Amino acid sequence: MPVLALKTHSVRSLPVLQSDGELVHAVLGGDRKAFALLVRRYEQSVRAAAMSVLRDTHLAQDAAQDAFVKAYEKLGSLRRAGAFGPWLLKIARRCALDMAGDRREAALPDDDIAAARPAGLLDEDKERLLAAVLELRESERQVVTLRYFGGYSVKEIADIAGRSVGTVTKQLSRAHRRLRVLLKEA
Amino acid sequence: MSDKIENRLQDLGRTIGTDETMAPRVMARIDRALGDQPFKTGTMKREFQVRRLVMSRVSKLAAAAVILIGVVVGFQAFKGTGGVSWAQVLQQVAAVRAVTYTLQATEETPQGQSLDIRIETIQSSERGIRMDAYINDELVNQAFTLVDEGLFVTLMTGQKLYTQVALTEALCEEVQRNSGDPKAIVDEFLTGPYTELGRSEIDGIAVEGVESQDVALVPAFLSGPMGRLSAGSEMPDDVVGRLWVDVATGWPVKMTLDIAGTDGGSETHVVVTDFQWDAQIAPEAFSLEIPADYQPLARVDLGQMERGVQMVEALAYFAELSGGTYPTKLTPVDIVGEVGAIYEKLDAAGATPEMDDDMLIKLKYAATYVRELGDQGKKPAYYGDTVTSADTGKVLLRWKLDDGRYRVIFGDLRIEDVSGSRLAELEAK
Repeated sequence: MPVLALKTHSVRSLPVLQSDGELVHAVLGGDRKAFALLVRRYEQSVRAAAMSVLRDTHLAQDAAQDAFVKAYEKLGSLRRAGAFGPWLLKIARRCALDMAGDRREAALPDDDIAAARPAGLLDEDKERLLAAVLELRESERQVVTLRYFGGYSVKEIADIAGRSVGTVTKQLSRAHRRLRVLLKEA
Repeated sequence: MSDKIENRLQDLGRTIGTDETMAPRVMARIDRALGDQPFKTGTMKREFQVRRLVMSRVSKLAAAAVILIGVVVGFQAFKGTGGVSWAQVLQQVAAVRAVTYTLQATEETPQGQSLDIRIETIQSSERGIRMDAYINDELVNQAFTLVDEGLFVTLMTGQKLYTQVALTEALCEEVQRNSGDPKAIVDEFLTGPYTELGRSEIDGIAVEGVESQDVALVPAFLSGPMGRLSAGSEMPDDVVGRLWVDVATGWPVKMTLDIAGTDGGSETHVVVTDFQWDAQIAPEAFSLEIPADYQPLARVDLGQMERGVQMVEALAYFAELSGGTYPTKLTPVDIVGEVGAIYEKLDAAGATPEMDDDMLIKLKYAATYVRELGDQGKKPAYYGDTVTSADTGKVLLRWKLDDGRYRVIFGDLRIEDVSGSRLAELEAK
């Protein structure tokens, strides 16, 4: 056995959750159900990303659906399976921007988009916070959205992202710091 | 509302809420829109190809006594000294038929421990790959991918053990087409995002460099066990790679990769140097004789794997251990975990079974092979989470054959090739 492979050739227990990378490989291997798990895992984060652009729950839901379908279609072109989360959020933002563009082209002024926002859904403070979250670095954005929007524990996020608990803890901590700075700047 | 950022995020999360209908709606749309269309494999294929070379590159961190009769470096291929043309570098490196180099990897733990591995590699499109790995200058592992013989052999010099994998013809062709890791590294550097570092000097040679922070460099640098280790467990997100090219000739002279220990874990530093581009390789470098006092640790035949025979052997071993169940997930990492858990359980119960390395290795190869089938669009599906050895008529594993039929391994480990419609009936059970 090759030298460093010895490190993996040890008794270990199974992870609690399948990582994104494993699920992506499963989907590419023909297991479509695995994609449903990815949808459940990221639906809050994807809707949040879409909401930050569209400011409308219903439109954000539609954009999120589009984003997941597009991600499924393009899954084979994903460069690194473990990077599924950040990649998906980029697609979500692009879908939301496209949808916002379509609405503008359909002569619906931006004001209408804002007006479509149900009262009290995202107040100004939350909108600012969400915008700040989406400005975080990819890895930090992923752990923050999984933690606070998806409700996953640090251990579960570690399993999902294929990182160690220590890394996730540090990334969360860095993200908190960065968010404080971003919100002050805003 | 509290000012604490954590509380504010939690509050935002509650407002966003959960949409339980999202997954079923998305899946319904996918089913309607795409039906049974296969994926476009795109760049993901490259990742699989790297991993697939388990079979050939599994020994990347093994090493090589490099025997050269001569070196022909294509100085004339690179004209001018006005600055490096990166496109030309890429083209020049891609055309190389043989290269030798040294890779030095150092892993440092926060506790101050350090592991140094040196790998001396010969890669030849015609002959294959040879890697000799040294720890503290002691030869610990040799790996030979022999294209002519269709074999991948690893010698563990300390334990006097060896593994032998019979490669398929397709895999040998793949090695011949794409045998050069330095080529993969250069490709990752120059086709991904990078910044130019300008001029410098290495060992008296004027060089020009680029820097990249693309994590895709990691498998390119560390394909084989270390790459799989990274990809399979934790892909680092903080890496810095540098490529330095001789200004006069356009040949890369040094490549480095630094992986930060972001979680307080180990840092890894990799330096690839001593390149001999377009080297002439002595035939002796690839003549392998397994020493008589070496014992076989595992023998895998990928042709038999393809036919399902070794797949069945490996799954039977697992079922025997587990009392009739199969691995829940068919991935190398999970298999090791599940087998380990079974052994722990047996051990706790007072039984002290010997681990069958041959079978364990076959299982891992089976998992890798199934993953490769997925990469090839052969629609593998594995149902080890629900099917046991008692489920004689149920599909445990299947994949598509070139003739359009499906090879099916049933719960009782029978192998049968069936039509698509028959498969649908079987899977409906």
